[in-house]
Amino acid sequence: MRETALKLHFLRFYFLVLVILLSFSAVSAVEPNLEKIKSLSKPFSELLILDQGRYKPLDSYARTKLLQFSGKTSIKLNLSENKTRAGEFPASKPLNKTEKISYMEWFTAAVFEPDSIYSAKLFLINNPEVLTAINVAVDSHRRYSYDELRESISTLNQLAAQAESKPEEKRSLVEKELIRVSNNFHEFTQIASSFSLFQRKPMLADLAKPELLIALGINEGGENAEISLFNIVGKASELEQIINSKSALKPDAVKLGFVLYSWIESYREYLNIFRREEVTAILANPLPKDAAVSQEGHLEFVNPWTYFYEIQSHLGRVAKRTSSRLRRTNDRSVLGVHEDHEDDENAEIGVSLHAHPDELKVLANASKLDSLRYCQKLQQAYDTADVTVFKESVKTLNELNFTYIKSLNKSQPKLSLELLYNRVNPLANAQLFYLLSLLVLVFRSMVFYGRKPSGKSISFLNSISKSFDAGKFASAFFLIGFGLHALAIMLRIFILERAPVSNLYETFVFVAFVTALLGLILKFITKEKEISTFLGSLSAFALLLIASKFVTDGDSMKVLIAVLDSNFWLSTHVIAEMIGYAGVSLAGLIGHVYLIKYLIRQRHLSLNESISADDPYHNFMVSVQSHHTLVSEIDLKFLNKIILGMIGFGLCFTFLGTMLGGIWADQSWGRFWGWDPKENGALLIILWTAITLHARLAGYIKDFGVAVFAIIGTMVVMLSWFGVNLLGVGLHSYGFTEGLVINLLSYFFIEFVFIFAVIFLQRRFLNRIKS
Amino acid sequence: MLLIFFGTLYQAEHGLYLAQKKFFDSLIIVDGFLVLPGVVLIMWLAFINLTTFLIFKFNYSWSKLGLFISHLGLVTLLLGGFYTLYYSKESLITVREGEQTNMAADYYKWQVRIVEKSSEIIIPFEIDSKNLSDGVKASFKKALPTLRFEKFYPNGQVFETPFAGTIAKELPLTKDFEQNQPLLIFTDIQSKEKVYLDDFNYKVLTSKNSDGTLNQMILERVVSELPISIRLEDVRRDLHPNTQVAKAYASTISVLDEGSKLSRKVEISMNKPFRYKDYTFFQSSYGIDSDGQEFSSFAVVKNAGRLVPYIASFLTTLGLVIHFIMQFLKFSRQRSSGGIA
Repeated sequence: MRETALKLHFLRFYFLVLVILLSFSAVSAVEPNLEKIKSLSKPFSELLILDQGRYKPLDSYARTKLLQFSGKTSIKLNLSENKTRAGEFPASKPLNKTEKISYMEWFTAAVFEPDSIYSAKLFLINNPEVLTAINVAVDSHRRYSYDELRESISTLNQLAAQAESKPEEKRSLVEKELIRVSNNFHEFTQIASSFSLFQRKPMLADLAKPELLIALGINEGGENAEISLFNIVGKASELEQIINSKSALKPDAVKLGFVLYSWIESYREYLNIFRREEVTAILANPLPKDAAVSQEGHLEFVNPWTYFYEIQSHLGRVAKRTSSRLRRTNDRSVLGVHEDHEDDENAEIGVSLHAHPDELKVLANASKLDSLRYCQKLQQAYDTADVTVFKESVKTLNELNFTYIKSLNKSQPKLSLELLYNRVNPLANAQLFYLLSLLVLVFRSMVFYGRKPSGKSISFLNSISKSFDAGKFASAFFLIGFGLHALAIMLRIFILERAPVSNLYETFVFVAFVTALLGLILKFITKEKEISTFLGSLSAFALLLIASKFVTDGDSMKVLIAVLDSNFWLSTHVIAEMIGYAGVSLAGLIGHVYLIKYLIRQRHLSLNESISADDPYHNFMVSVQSHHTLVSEIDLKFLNKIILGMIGFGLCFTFLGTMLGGIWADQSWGRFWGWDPKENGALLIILWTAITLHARLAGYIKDFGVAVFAIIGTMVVMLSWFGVNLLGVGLHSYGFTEGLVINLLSYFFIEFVFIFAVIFLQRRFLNRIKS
Repeated sequence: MLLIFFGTLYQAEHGLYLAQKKFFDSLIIVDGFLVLPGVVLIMWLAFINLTTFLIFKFNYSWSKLGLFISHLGLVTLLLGGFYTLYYSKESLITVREGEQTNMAADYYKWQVRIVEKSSEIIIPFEIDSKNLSDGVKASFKKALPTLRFEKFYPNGQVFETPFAGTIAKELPLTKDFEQNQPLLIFTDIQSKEKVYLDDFNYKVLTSKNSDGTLNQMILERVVSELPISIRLEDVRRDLHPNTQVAKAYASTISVLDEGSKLSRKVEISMNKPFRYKDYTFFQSSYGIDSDGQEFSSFAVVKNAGRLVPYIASFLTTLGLVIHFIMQFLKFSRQRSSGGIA
């Protein structure tokens, strides 16, 4: 009973201390110094860290986190107008009440001056029921600040814990959202406190009297200096001496020691509550080989406070092994609590320090660690807005890490390449250029819409579009997009050192690339330059658009699980499979074009009356294609050949990919074929393309039917691509994704409507021709 | 095609094993009033169709070389498939670090082994049927005269409760079929007490014969003997730094050939199996048992025809590529000579 009471007592203490430490200056909310943040965020983004098993620049981490919390890559800050300081802004310039800052600027502020962004609307909460449950007013922007949520955090925690106790498939949408928000809140708290060790706390300044500091041998910054916990850490044994002496400084020393140890303990509790593996190394620090904790084989990098956590747990083990006797006689843990009032002065606060000698040694060593010292330097450089020192500290920290990684015989992280990738953002830009190319082509045909190119009246618009060769512009945009796309894939290969097809996101990016490449090849080997550009741009744009839906899930560069970690098979099996997907998808796309051209031709053949289809997609395609007002039969024959070629191409590669997959499966699981859903999906594609080719050969379908079959072929590809993953069974379901069912079903629905509309119209035109 | 589609949907509900049995490995599928040909039957039909087509109807000419090769490859692939279906054998071998074994356990087949003084009775049964067949029940009665067979749970567990004593609970079948733990419940005819038999902790049940001799009763997976013994020297798991995501599993084993005294060391890891004659050993899982001892499981596959699909896929792909290139050349020739296309 007594022990439980003691434990509760502890917990309350820790919680109290944590709250005090974290929210000390919340009363006087600090305004972020935007200029400082802006100048320091760039060097800070280059810091090397270890996160999710991969070395990466802090930039990538900050981006992922802001996306995870708020769904955006930038965040708005509210600035109060009276906070303007002279000289910072010209008086004539009207002050914006809100200021948008980038993810890196946000992260910089969150680490070095967390109080300053507590009021920023950070957490995206989609479900209003969550807000009602935790008693927070609903905001139309759906984003809520740390300050707003802090009041209700205990309710949120309890509800999330309750929801988490249920099995995953039984959780409701609200419960899932509760868990997500609660996890995000705690992750942010971790980020915001990662540098608290180095931050100067006014509370500490009150406790640390000048005389005490002198006695401890801390003389940094003169008499009025605010000190950080890190300053005291290295003086733990001196502190212990004063506490055990009869000195007049004893009461102050006890208080200071209490704060120091409570800080470490409070994080220990904090980390015990949240699963260990979720703690990210926000700031990577190589541990020296001789450090007591490096025995933990897998722990290579930690952030400052996880480092102390490891010290604590290590000491816990030491204590267990060596001296349960010590515990019995003293009845104290690391932070001993006196229940027996043997010491009058200590009894006042009931706390004393009785640290294990080993522990003092480790703490003293920790304070001498280069990595931690440079972290402190970072904080100091931030406080004094010293850009040069800040840059140098980042550089030194990176060098420390690089030497450490080298000593582990691991390949060097491609820091600058990844920064380049983040800054250029080649995929988003490639998507933009594909879109531009499409728009130019669409705009061009809009100009021609309803006009016959052979007509005699030369309008103003016609003359413009003749001097301004739209086709050239479109293909230029297409080529730029293609170049960026290729750059993105190359960079990803170099950064991750693996084939660029290891998750659903990457497969879409890759297939988009292959379709664009096929468009490019068509462009060179055929006379139909424009239609090739159009097909390449459209397919690449559409697939990149799908890919961008996945990127908000978080990091698109995650590490691979064991079974996929095989570069040879990944780069042969999956790539062959994906090239096959690209071929069949493109065949389906050309199938659409064929059908529309076919209908236009039929319409002209049947009557000169214009018939408008109800389908807006149809109208769009008509407008795109209508400059070939009279579609010749040669055109259609050509398209048909391309469709057949693409299907044949797709069949070759899908078959090759599937068989390579079979061989991989035989190599690693012991069976060539196991009727796994993904295998069945691949088989479906093979069968469908084979059926298409055979049906044509046997005369069951003609050119029109081939186009319809090609469109269905694309649907089969989509089904196999992620429909199978949605089932969530089998060996291939690594990239399981939620919420796609509706999109997939509506895609199928639209395609079916399209096919039926086309068949209906075809019948109508044919009847009319006959009559 | 439809079969594969619905078979795959069925997998999501019932797991891979049952779906495979129902849809893919059977000649006909009966579900209520619906009778459909099974995938195997279709494969046989396709095989016969393809073979006769290639022999009698195929129009042999150089331009169709690619097509011929690829269809020949498909025939080979189907042949390999049939061979694997009827002759390959999969089992699982689990070894603790430092221990040695030559017995591999079957994934799905179970048996009750009853050891009398000198003889051994083995009663095999399958757990994917809800009820045991009368034949199995009858052999229980014969082998265990003092026990009355009550119930059979394909997947069950025995709990110790503070008030109600020991109770048995039936669990739903798991999707990973090999994880089901069958449970047999008997009643002792004399004491009227329930007797449970499961595979937990090498539990052995005893029953007293009328003449006073004791029978030992063990529930276990069907095991088969391998021609080699395996001793697990070391097993390790590498993690991606600072995460719990496994990067690699690897086991070092010593292989002892039957009859020879010499052992050799082999490393098995993901994507790197060990082959011995027709047998292939794969790293399957890794774990730590209740004693803190690390263990490693290997899937053992015996398949003499494992090279057939390799050859078949090579043939088919080669044929497809030849045909595609020939068609492509024809197409570009037509284009350049200003033909119809």
